Amino acid sequence: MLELRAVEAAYGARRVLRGIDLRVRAGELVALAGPNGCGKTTLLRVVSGAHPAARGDVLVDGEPIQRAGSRRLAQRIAVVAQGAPLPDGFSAFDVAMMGRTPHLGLLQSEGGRDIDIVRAAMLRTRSWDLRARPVDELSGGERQRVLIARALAQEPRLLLLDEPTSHLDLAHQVDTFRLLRELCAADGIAALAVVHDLTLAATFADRVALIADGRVAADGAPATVLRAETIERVYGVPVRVLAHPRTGLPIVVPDAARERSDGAAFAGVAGGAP
Amino acid sequence: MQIAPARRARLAAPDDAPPLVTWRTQAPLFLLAALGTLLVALFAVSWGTVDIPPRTTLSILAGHLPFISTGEHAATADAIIWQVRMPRVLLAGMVGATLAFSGAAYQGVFRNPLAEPYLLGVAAGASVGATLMIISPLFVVAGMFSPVPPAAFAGALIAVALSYGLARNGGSVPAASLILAGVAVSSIGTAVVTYLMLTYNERTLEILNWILGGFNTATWTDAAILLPYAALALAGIAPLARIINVMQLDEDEARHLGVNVEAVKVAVLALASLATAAAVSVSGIIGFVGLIVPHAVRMAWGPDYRRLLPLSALFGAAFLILADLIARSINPGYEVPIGVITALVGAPFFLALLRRQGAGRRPA
Amino acid sequence: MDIVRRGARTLWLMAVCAALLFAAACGGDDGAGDDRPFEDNPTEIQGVSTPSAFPIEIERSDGQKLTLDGPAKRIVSLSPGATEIIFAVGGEASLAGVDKLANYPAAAAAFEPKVDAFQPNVEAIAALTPDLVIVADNGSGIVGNLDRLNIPVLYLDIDDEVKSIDDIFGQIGLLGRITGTEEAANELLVDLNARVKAVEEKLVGLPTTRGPAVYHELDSTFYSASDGTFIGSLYRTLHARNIAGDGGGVPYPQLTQEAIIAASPNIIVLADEDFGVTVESVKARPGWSAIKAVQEDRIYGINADIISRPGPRIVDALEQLAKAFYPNAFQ
Repeated sequence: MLELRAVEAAYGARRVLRGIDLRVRAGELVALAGPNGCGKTTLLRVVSGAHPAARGDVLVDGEPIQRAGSRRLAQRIAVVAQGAPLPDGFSAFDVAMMGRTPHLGLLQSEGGRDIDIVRAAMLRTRSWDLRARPVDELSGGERQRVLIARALAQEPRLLLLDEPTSHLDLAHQVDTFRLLRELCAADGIAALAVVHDLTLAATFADRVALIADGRVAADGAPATVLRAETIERVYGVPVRVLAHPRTGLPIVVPDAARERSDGAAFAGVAGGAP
Repeated sequence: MQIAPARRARLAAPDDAPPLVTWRTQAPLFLLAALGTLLVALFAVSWGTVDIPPRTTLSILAGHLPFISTGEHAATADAIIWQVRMPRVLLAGMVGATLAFSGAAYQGVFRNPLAEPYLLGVAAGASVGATLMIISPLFVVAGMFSPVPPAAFAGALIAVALSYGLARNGGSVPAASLILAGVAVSSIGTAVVTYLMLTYNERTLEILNWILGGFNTATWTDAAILLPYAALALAGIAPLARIINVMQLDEDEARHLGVNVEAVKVAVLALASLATAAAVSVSGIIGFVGLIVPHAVRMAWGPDYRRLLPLSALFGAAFLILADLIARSINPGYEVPIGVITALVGAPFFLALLRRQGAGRRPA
Repeated sequence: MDIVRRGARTLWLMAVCAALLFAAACGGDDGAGDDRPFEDNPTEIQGVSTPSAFPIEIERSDGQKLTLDGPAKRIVSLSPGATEIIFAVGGEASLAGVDKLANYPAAAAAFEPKVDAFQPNVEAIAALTPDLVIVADNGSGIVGNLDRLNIPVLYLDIDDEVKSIDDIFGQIGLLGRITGTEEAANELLVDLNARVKAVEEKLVGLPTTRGPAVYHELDSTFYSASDGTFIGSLYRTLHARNIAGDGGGVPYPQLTQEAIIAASPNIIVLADEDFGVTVESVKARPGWSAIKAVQEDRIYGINADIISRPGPRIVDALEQLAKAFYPNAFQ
């Protein structure tokens, strides 16, 4: 579905991505993790076409994204950005309906089919009951559901999410990831999500890609990637990785005891991390 | 923002999709607003310093329609209705519609409720153009057709092009840079006009009269000059209303939804600026309309540009026709600068709306 | 059009503009609003001054008293009307500076140095070491600035103090006394009075109500002069009915176009030919063919300077208009 080959990107002279190779298959939920500033968000921007790759190829269904126009790209890739502003006064339905934009001609109005698609998207994200509410009155969790509904209304093959749960409480975090899982499993949508909470990533993602310093530091099943030494190398903090008593999936917690004993050493490493 | 009445109705609606905002679903609202504007226009044509009974007015108007003969009318009444009031009301309506519509379009692409059609230097540029023409020898020898409107038009377009050129950075034109460039260009223009007024002070009054604007000298020709630009802007921008809605997310979001943000921005700004320049060139600089009418419409009918753009045009027309009516009848026989009226009538009305909106906000 | 006349209106418009554009009140003084009559007029009705010695006491338009102990020797005139008067009475030797729009007589046009009366520079004026500055419009606040420098200012506002031909004659007499040219001033006044009287005599027996209706155009957006101005007094003298009337309380009002057409004046006087308005362009205005003056071809241009400037040439304007209005009486 999505394939990145030796992708490099820069903001001016500052090189942010230094050769990323990554694949996301249809129906797969891949979590992108890594320290702040490692290039995760830039990676999403490059894939969505918002930022040009300096080198390398970004292929969607085997086609380089530069070759697809922005409209055709938007028919395949939907983006749920972090803290995206929503315009005052528009209803949740209005905003979800905006997801139909790439499927409508310039002078075309939405029709019955578009309503059906949006209704289905909002029902799936349990935001249909919010449809008449102005988006500026929604809570964080409600906004996120409406945004995902909008993304679904695009009928995308690939969903890009930038920290989709960062402002949500535990219940809404779990809720959001359950929904993503279900979308990948039932619809064959590929999802690439930036996730900070490694435990959450381990619980729901098919794969975790750890990014450090503009490169993929580790990529694979959560249990193989999320090892204490890997995480410590990437993040520069002492952690302990426990196994979930029932599922066996990794649970990542800071290692408070080691933090106290040789915190200085790790602080040094953390300070050196970009 | 307050829940518009239409929205409240939706809340109570049965479990089905909210109504779509399309030309078809909004047609009754637009027709009603158009009818109201038409009535305002008719009232303005039949009302003036000179007392002409409404029946005579209608008869004169009908008499000018093809294939209708309503008999002879006094030459004076006919001249007043057909040569003075009709073009005056028509021009005021067209200018009001153009300014309010362009204001709404500017607010849409800048995602800034404070944007107004003079933001990119149209007014200052037009003033420079008009001033240069007024102080030039051409002004005196021109004869029947005043050379001032074309000069103002050219000045306005140069100013907008300058703002745009200054703000351009590679392939994109960031909204914030554009606003700053517009402010800078406007300041330069204002400074140039001030300098020229002081240097050529035997012409200062002409310059100020032009800048203050108004419809006292409106002719059918003025209306005919403005019509193509106003129509072009309306026809070019109104179909983009759905896209402008999407642009109310942010620019990146709109791009992610497949919108060619730069192209839409350029198209909307070019068309709106062109129409505003034409309006300013025939009427002078009339403030407040382009800012407050779209706001008032937004407060009453919500932010959807598919409603906002057409309603702004209609209510802009009605507003300026009424403002001009007040300007010419407050002191019968004499004129009051229309800018004074738009400010004195418009600002309190606007404040009242603002207060009502504040009071209607959901409890904190 | 006279710079001062223009200046007062200009400043008023500027104030409006400023208020509109910047939503802030601009401190523009409109120069009007003070209807106090010129009480201290030291002249007789027709302006011929009685021989009187200095000191002269004058109440200025702002209510301040000005006392002159002897003839002024270094006058800076910021009023083209006053400049014309001083040249007409032969007092130009007392001039130390005139405003830059002074263009009559030729000697005034050639006179140096010139200063800007529209945006007067107080330093430039003070540098001329004047013993009197004549101001007809205080829109720029120049009077206060000069007062602070203790430079005597003769401030007689053009809107408040000059409402008739007689007021202009009064200023001629006053300026004659101030410049020590009383005799010449009195001779000029006798002559001007005689010319006015000659016009009046030919019009005796014409009832005011049967005189022509006249529209006096100051610019192409239909600004006009009301009855309360010296231009209006000219039309009263000519038994003409000025369609601008009382101006709705404004000395120089903007008329609504349809009011002009409805009034259907017999005569249109154009004081705006300098701005490209011509008899032909007036005739071509849509709807104006319904006006009697257009139908009867009675549109006359007049030099804006002679009719808008309160100087001796106002009598020229009166005579020209009398000939135009009553061609039979003035062969």
